[in-house]
Amino acid sequence: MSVLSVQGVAKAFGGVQAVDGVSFDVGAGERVALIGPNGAGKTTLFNVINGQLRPDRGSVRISGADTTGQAPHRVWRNSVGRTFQITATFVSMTVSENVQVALASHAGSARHLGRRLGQAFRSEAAELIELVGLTDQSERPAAELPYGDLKRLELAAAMTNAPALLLMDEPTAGMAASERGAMMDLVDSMVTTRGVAVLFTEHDMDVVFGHADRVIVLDRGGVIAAGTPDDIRADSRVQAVYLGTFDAEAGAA
Amino acid sequence: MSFIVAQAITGLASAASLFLIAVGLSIVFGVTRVVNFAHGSLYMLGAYIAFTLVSVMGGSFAGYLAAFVLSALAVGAIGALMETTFLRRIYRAPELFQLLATFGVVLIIQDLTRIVWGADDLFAPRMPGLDGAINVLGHQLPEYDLFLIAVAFLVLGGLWLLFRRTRFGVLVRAATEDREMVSALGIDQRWLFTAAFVLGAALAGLGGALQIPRQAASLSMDLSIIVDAFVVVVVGGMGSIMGAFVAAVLISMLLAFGLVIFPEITLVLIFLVMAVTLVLKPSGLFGRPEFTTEEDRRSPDLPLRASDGLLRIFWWGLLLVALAAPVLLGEFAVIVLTEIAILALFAASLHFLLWGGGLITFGHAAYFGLGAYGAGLAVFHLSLGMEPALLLAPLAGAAGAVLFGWFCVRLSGIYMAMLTLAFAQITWSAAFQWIGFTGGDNGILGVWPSAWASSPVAFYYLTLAVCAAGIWGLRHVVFSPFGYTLRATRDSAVRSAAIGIDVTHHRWLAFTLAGAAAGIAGGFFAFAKGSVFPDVLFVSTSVDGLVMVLLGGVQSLAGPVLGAIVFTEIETELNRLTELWQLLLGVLIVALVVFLPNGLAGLVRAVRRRPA
Repeated sequence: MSVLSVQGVAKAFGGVQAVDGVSFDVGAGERVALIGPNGAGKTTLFNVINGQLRPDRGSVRISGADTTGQAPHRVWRNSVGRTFQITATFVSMTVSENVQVALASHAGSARHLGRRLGQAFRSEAAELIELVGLTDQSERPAAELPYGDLKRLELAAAMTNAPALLLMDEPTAGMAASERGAMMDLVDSMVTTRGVAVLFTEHDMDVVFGHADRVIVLDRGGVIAAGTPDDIRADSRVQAVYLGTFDAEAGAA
Repeated sequence: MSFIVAQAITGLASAASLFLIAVGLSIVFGVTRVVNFAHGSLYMLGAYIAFTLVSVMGGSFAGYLAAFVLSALAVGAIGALMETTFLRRIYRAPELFQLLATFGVVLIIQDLTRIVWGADDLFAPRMPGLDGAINVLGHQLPEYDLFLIAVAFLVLGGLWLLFRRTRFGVLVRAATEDREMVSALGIDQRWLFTAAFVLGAALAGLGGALQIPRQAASLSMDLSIIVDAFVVVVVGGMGSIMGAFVAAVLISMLLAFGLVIFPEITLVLIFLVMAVTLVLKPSGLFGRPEFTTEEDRRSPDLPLRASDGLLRIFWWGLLLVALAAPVLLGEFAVIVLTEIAILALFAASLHFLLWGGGLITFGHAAYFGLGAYGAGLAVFHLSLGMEPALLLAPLAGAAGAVLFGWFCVRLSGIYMAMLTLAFAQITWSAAFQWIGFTGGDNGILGVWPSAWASSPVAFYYLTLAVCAAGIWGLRHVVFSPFGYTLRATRDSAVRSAAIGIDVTHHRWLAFTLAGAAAGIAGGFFAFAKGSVFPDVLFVSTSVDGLVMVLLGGVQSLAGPVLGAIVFTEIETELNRLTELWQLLLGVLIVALVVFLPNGLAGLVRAVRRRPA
């Protein structure tokens, strides 16, 4: 059974058909990159999958459960972890507390009034923080972290519910080129050690071709190509969309 | 049929007045993003100035027309003064601070107006030439009402021309729709902001001046109009002139016909329109959704820390002093101390929402007042004793918070502040008008403690025990998983949802908890005073709470307690010394927002952190 199954999803804004009948699957432990030029519909599709948008047509299934149109906090219950293009963390908390709150939510104790959060889930949090390499930062306020470390913190928070699927919107956006490889290596290690599947959008083609098992290319709301990085590299339609050359377009027509 | 026409024209006349005031508020908000609480005060000033002008120039038709124009100009000038000296200092402050600071100006203008014109209502003669009535389908309609309607259409047309045909108008519209763009155009924003504010102030002045032939100039004009104007602006869409017009007509018609069909619930109906509009279309009928980036918090809070040495000394020292006080101080002191303990819990419950959850409420008096009325009514109608009445108080506060909170937690920022305020004002007007149940203005009397707690000292210790426990409990919640989760929703709603938190629901629970805590405080307040009056529900009670929190320091758990102590002390002392308490409170609020935004606790923290 696929971890994520998107079937015939369509979404329009006003008169603009942002996503038009997109279908694909992501298998367990698979790393799939969703790419396409600006305005191709990546963000819309992503927001449909993670629950921020309800599609006009089509369905989204996560590990077999129909999550179409469910709010993000419900989608999360189906073992989904998320990171954002612009990092979203709890700036008034320490690194450790950021992870502890997420662990409390996973344990179903977000509404507990009894004991303090301070010592709860400390060791589990420490384990995840170590996994993303932030151990020596764990008592620092998130507000003080450099951007690359915030991305790592987001990843740790996204791993708290032991997700089967990680949705990462531009995991390396805003990072220095030198940091990008390390970040994606970290994601790869989540895949190998924790068996998580990853669906990510990305602009950096080095990251895409270096870290995706499969690539799905969107243009004007539809899938124009899907396959291994090598297939995609060789695809003339993809070249046309990305390079916009007259020759390639003529060749595709 | 003829009755409907007559009623519609009456409704349109009120719509005209409401439009004149609301449109200025809306323009100012559109350009500066400040909701100006003092807009009603400018309206009131317009009325008083027109009254004086009419007295001086004589109440001829021409004299009146001149008075209208001159009042508008004079209030415009006052607006210019206000914007350049004060308002421009708070454009970057958080919304709540802006609302609070402009409320400080309300207090200042009210006292100054009282000093200049006296406390009595001032009646102007009717406007000659427009003092008759016209027969419309068998109904007598005042000529002046028709004049008002004509003026409103003139102003609407004039504004339309101004906004479509002049460079100034284009800039105002541009600023309303996209702030970034205006700064990119390279024009002097300061000039634009001042000009927009002067325009809004002049419109308010005109609106106030136009009232004096039909109603007395009074010191309550400011607050009575401003809440209605808020409703109009919110329903119409902030920054939209057409929205202000349509909403003013809608609300006034609702009032005009509502009064005939179901007079008891007219007020509730209006606020219901507002609540439903906000929930269905948060930016109002004609407004555009505001795009806010979540991460632009001005200065992120520091992570929570368990009390360190100094803070622990503060808490224990405070408790010791509170316990020893009745022995050391006299009976009057015990009464003040009881009030401090109650208000500290009230302020702490407000602080819990503001700081713990980033939930901006400007109507926390509702839950305090519901607690007070819950206890008072239990004694009055059910003849319950103190103990069960005090148990009912938090339930009443929580019930109100469950109901109102359901709407409020769906909004954020200034919209949430406005809706919480609106709900508090509904509750206040219900308590005020439902005389059969609440005693109206006469209040509920004879709410006395049980025999064992009837001495001031015994009641003080009871209050202290419960309120201190309440404050400690709220503090404990802040550190609990519930509190951290609430803090999480404040820091980042998208991240919270992404870790499985139902943000709206969690906020609703927090709102309810804070309502219950405020209800406890309200219950004790009723027994401390022996009576309950509608004042406990009024916006001034909410503002007192906000001032305490702000004075003590928003970013500190000790803040609300410290603030309640200092505020109550200042109020008690100054009330004894001077009649100008309101003026001084207004100045205090403005000074706090401008000079001491982190409160006393912030000051202490800054001193402590300074390298030795």
